Amino acid sequence: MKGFGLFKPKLSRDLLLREAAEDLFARLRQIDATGFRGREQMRGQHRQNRGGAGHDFWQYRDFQIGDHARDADWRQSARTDRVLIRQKEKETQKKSTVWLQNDADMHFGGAKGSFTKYETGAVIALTLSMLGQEHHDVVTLSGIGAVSADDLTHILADADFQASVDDLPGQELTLIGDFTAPMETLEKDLFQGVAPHKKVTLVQILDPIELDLPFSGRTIFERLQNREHVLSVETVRDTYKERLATHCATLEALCKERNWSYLPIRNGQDLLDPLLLTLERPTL
Amino acid sequence: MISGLTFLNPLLLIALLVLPLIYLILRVIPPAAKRVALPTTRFLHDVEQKNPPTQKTPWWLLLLRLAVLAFLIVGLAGPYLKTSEPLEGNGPINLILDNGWAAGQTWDTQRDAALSLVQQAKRANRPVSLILTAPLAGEEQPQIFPAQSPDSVISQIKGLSPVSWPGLPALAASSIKKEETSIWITTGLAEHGYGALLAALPDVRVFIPPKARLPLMLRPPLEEGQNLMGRAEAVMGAPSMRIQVTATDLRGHLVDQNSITLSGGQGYVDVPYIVEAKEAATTTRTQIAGRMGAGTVLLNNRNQLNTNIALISGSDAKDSYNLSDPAYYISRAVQPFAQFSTGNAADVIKANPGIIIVADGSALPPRTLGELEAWVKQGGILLRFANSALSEEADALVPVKLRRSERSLQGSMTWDNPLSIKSINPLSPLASQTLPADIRIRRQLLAEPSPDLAEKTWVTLSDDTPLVTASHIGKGLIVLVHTTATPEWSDLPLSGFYIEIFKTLMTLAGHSDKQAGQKNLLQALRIYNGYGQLVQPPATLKPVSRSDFAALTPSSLTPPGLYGTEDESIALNLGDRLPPLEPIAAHVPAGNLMEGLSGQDVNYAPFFLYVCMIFFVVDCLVTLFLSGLWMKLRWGVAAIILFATITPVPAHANDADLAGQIHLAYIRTGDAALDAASEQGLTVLSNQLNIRTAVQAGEVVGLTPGQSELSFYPLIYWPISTAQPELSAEANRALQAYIDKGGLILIDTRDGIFRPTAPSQSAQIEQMRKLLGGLSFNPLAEAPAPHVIFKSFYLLNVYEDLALTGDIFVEDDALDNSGTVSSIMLTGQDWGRIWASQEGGIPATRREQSVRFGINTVMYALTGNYKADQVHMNAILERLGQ
Repeated sequence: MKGFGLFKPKLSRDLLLREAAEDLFARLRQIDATGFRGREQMRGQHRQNRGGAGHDFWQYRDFQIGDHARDADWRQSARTDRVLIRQKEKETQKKSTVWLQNDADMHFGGAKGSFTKYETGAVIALTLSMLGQEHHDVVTLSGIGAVSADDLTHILADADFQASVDDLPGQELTLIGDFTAPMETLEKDLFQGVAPHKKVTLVQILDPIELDLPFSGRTIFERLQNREHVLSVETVRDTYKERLATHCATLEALCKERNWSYLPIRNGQDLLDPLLLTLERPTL
Repeated sequence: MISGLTFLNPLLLIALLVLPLIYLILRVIPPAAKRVALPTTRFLHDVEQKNPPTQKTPWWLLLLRLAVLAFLIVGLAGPYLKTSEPLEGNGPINLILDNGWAAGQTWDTQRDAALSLVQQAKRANRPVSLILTAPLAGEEQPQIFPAQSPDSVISQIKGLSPVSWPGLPALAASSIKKEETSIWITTGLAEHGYGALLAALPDVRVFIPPKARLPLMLRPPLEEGQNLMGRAEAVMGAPSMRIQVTATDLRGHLVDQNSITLSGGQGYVDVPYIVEAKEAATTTRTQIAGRMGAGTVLLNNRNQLNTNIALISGSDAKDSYNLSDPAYYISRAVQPFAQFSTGNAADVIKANPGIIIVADGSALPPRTLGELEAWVKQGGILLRFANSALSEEADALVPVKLRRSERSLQGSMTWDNPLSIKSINPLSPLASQTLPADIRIRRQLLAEPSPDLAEKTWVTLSDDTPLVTASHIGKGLIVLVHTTATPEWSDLPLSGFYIEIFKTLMTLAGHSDKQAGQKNLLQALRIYNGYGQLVQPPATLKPVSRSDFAALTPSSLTPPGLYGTEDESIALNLGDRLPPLEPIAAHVPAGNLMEGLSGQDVNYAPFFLYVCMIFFVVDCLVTLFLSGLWMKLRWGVAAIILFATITPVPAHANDADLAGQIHLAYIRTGDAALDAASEQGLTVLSNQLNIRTAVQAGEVVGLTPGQSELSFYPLIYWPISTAQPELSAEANRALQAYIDKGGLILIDTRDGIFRPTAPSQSAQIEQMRKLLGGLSFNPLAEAPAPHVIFKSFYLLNVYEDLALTGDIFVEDDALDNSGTVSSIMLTGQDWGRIWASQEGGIPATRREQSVRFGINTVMYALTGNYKADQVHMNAILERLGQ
């Protein structure tokens, strides 16, 4: 988001999101080409240790009734006196799910012209989706279902969906949100619904304004039902930061306890490093 | 004297005392809290709040707000800078206003001074009594109004205008009490009775206009025979100034004008004519230009109104084009300087003109001859021209005895050559004329030799036979020209000498002693108004005895102007009768002089209020900025400020602009190349109009009939293209309305020379027929060579310059110059393209001709048949001669 607002060509929201995601995706692929530890994960080869549809050779076996003649490997069969069938190892698609918090709190962004928290989360979701698509994996958006990256772009731009804790299929789960609700609420509404065996990453996006409280003087803070009249922001800033830090620490501890990845993101920061970290973590 | 800043409502200034209080209030009230949306507001719940540091409004904002209030209070208190002298005393104010003849030249200054004074009186809440020194026409007492409120006096003064006769300050003073405040707004001249006023009112304050504005007067020349327009007079000691004196003739045409320096040291200057004496003789009115007023106008004291010339003629053929009709030549010779009429003998004699002309071939019946003789004997002038019939007649009403037959000097049976004029009798009225060398007389009537023939002869031919003879009968004069009034017998009617004969006789008609038998009383015919214009006199004026007239002084009873009857009138000029100009400044005691009255009080209230408003807007912006709303509203606020401060400039020429200037227009045909050519061509034409003529043409406009408003354009160019779709009903209506209301459409079929009736017809003509089918206008006909379109600006020779033969068609009722202007012009030359291709491809002469034709067409659209007016014939003939 560079340039003076009046003279920058206005991109529509979906294009903005897609642009940021494509940028991020391109950088990820560059790193993929040079090699990094998590690349196996990214390639999306999910071998099933049995015969079936796939690219790689699995085994030869004898022709049985019901096999099609065209499946016979005539070269190998000629070496022996049996008719051999060439089997390939079965490969399946990796299934992963993105859960994106979509409420009023997420649609909050500090500086004009930069992404809101939701949009940052959407960029991450979109990048994951594009990664999956590259490897023919299925990426599901909680509340919507399995979608292509193109469709996901529009869905995310419209922000007309509600993520549901009952809709978390697949092996991998990425939870994206700010998670500033009280810990009990989070526990009850969200964390309990997640199956324990999955690879889970929790991405917490907080805006610099929320982190730093950059105000001064007499200020009325309000959000939904909450309304706080602060006589002097300077005097309460430290307490606020402390409380927020405690909340985040609790969240992190909870993740550790469940063997989830905890990924704090400051809205506006470069997303490449946090994303790499997530991907490097092996599937359980 | 400047008395500094004063206030209309000084009490309001007490409100300024409130400012410190407001200062305290503003200090105490902290700035409003910002409102911020924050998702994590939850974490702020029940935060322990320490005692916050005190919030203060910044000092400069405080200052700004106090300034807003201070300026508002001061502005409402009505500050004004007083530049005028204050009025002393109390009670009603007597405002004596000189509105006599000299006020015409100083009226602006006087009125401003008077208004300024009344404004002061209004502030002081004093009634004003207005006294005008000059009486109304026909009355003897100055106009004295009772004291009234200053407001009504202001409107009264605004409606006043000066008069043309002197004021009577002495009488004006008689109604005023000595103790009352009196102010006298003079013209700067000491007029009759000023001393009495000054003596009666020792405390009167006197206003005198600035020296450069003091009145001038134009007097008749003191010395006769020096060819002077007059003597311009100023008061002694006035600054030197450049004046221009103009002389005009009876019909208002300029005879001469002369610029000259009037030096204040000498006080007067004689203004000579530049033209020769005989031309100057036609002057009837002399005036100092730019000085409105009766004092700067002189009407020549001569019988200038009796300039009727009548021709006894069987046919009523004043405007005929019959070249064998004497009326044709006589009317054109005399009309520039005289009223010309024709009629039968009885009517003409009854009308009693200055000169009666008899030129017809038919013999006059004896009874008419008798009446004519009686009229001549009473002082009339009879001018006769020879003709075949006259030679057969008895010698009635001719100056000399004529031979029975005329002499022919040219022809197969003669040996003689046409004769020229040899001499002019130095004793005759024609003596001042130069001898015309180019006149050839081919036939003439010969006079019987007699002893007094030489005496009666005014002009002699080269063989000593008379050309013009004259003799007195009774008080009148009979003049005979021994050749015809038409060019049938001679060149005389085509020469300037012909006109000089009439002019000379006109002066004689003025000097005839007809007056002897006239009434002894002179009634005012026209009087001057205060600005030197002649107007109808009021019916209340009493006639003046002729014997008293010479000693008459102009006054309200006998205003300057013209006296007598329409036929014969005498001028009563101020310049003839009034004493030398004398400045009043020398007579007024220095203490009574009033200065700086013309200086208007300067009102500062708008300034204060304006500054207050600006500060207020700045304060609003600052407040917005401080409260954080600025980022949200900045574009809106910026837009409001922009909208409020910048007058929106329309991007497109709007209707007012189109109507305010002349724009050439063309009809869009739908053929892009053709439309571009039309636009470019008309642009070239517009530029040429701007360079060559007084027309200032603006941008060229393309029109779609039915959608565009047509009424703004004097001329619409319509090239015919087969690409143009048929006109809609709306388009037809719009075009018809345009034609009917006086527009001009130039239709161009672009197919070269054509004839609409010719069998071979181009596609464009077919198309034109289709397009124009819905319009109604008169049939078109070829414009004849003398049509005004060929002389409306450039004199175009149809055949040589334009090679336009048969290619300009106009409506058939606009063929002659009867007053109808054609609404449709049809041509086939593809003018748009020719105008547009000013660079090359077309010969330079052709391009120039096309531009000239275009300019003529625009002029025709703008001026109609104006140039067809025969008044211009002289100039046109002269230019054609070159």
